[in-house]
Amino acid sequence: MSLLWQRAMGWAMAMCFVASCAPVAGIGRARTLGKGRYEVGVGPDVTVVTGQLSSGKVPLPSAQLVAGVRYGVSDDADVGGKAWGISLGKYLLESWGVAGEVKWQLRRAPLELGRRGTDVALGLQGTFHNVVLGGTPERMLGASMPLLFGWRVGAANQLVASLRVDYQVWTGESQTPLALGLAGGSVGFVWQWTERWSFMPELAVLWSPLSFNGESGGQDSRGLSILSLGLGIHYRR
Amino acid sequence: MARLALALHVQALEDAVLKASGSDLASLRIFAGLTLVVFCACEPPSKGIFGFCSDAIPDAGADAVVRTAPLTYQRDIKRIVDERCVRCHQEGGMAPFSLASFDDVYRMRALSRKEVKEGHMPPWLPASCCSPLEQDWSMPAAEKQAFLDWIDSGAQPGDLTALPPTTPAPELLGRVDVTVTMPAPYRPTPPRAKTDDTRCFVVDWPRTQDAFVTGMNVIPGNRRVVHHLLLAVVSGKDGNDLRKREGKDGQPGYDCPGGAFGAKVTRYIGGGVGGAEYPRGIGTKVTVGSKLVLQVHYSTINDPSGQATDQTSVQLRVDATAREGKAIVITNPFWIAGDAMKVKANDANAVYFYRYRPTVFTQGKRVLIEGGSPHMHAFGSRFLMGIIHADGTRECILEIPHWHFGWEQGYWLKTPKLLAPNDEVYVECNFDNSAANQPIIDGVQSKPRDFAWGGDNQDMCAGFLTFTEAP
Repeated sequence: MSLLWQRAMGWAMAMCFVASCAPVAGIGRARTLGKGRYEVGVGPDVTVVTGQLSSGKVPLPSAQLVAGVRYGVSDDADVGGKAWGISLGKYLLESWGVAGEVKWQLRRAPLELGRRGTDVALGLQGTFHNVVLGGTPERMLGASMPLLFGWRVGAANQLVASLRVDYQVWTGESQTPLALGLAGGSVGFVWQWTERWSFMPELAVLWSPLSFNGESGGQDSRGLSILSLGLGIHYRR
Repeated sequence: MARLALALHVQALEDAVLKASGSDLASLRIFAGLTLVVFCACEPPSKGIFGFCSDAIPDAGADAVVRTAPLTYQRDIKRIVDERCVRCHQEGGMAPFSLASFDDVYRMRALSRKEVKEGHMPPWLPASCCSPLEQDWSMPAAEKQAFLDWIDSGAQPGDLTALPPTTPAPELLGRVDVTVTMPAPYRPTPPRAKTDDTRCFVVDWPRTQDAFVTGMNVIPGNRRVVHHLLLAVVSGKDGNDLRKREGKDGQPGYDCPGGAFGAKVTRYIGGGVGGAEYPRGIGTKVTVGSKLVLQVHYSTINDPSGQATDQTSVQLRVDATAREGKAIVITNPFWIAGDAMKVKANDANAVYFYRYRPTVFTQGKRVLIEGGSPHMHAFGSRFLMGIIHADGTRECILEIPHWHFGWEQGYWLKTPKLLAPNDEVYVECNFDNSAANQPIIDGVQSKPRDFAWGGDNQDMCAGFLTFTEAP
């Protein structure tokens, strides 16, 4: 039966991996767009979710495509949304999700060349994620709050770092809602290729004290980490 | 609290976006409201969606029986006891006392009456209304009534000089080809304040050719502490690596908490206690050079002294060829994380169920369900596995109307059931977390408390199905 337990635990991990399909990378730069400007982006997201089970650490890699749009509602605030999805067959695995996000500029660094400063922005993201595993739906409602810091590198590039907390609630048929708190940070670099085109590789790491209960439970099956590498390709007007 | 948290989430989402954009208020409210409705509709329901067939059947044996002559052991009861009880209740058998003679039965009549009346003996848990099963040793209602009436009327012996010949109990295995045994006696040592201990023992696979295990019979060395056993196959290299873990605490074997073998399992042979031959030529392949790992799950709840030792064996029937059986596990993977399968204190009927299309196991093929095993712990009260066909019709596979933690085992269907690619498999577990159903530890009954998926003083809900490819 242990082989089956391993499969079951693997499945549990797989579901947590699917949770990462709500991309944890892709927070973007620490500077808002400016009123009336918009940006569209698309890019791959590679994620490794690692659960600490009693049998050891179990890493699960995955990859997906994310698309999003952002609009500057004022000089100091952007709103945006993004969507993602993956399908491995109707009755095997389908997942998709949408997120709405807002970003406030708390502090804006000077733009003049030769002057240094730190951009500081606060983001807030709400996420709805739907997973259909074997025809059975599972849903997640989540919130994420990153605090972003940005430093200009060269003329228009930006090094971005963030601290963030996430909170997710998973639920499905005949299941007590599962609340999951995560904390971590990210680091990324905005390479402004042309005036309109930019690339942003970003690495995000989150950790949760979520426990995985086995025959014995305990500290040896506690802890879920998410490591996500995203590459955003952005077009701005 | 969950609803409150969700409401706050939705409100926060709504407020944040609205403050930023100040537009499309109605759409956002509708989205947030719908999201909340979707989530709140997913609270665990108080009943499953399948239905227990035993709920529709009146209590067997309730009708009064008019007897024209007094029942006697010689004429009426010996045949019943031989057929239903002596398989285990004989000298050297699995049970703690013999019922092979009139004197034995008479001496144990009070306990026997109680156990039979309450349905605990013979220990056959499945409901007959669900699926006909192989090796069904349940006691039909008429036999049960006769046994109880015989005891109530004084347990008359009849003419003991004219006893019918003893019917030999059917062998669990028609042929024993291999017997594997723990290398030395082991004394279960659960962690402090715990009663569960899982220990693994590596043994060699003695055959010199690839072969199929077509039947197994677990012989507990000490029934007082052995709850069940799992038998798995690992590669020779992994087996040798596992051997290096053995004996480090001065006892044979190695700790394998959480049901983990500590190595990749190449095949799962079987589990439980007791056993049977696999029907219809089904077998589990074992290759030359493999090692077997006996994973014994001990519960010391009946051994407060902590001094009991055990040396369990497994008998195997082995054939050169067989139809290979594979397994499906039915459990909600989310239940394993955190409190996603929470059972509240004093809830006498908590219900959890899960259904899905097991494409990942069947690879989208038509398969035959050959048998199944339930898995719950001591809070389990009822169990059900079934198929929900794509057209909505339902087919019961296994139903346990009165779960008993001590008698967990696997069952083979008399007739396999077809599972088509778009059919769902279904598992349902009912739990009794009332004050009357708490464990007694050191003579003191525990108080009810919330629990979730887990081992000690917690519970699980999983169904395991064995399938073969449909022709």
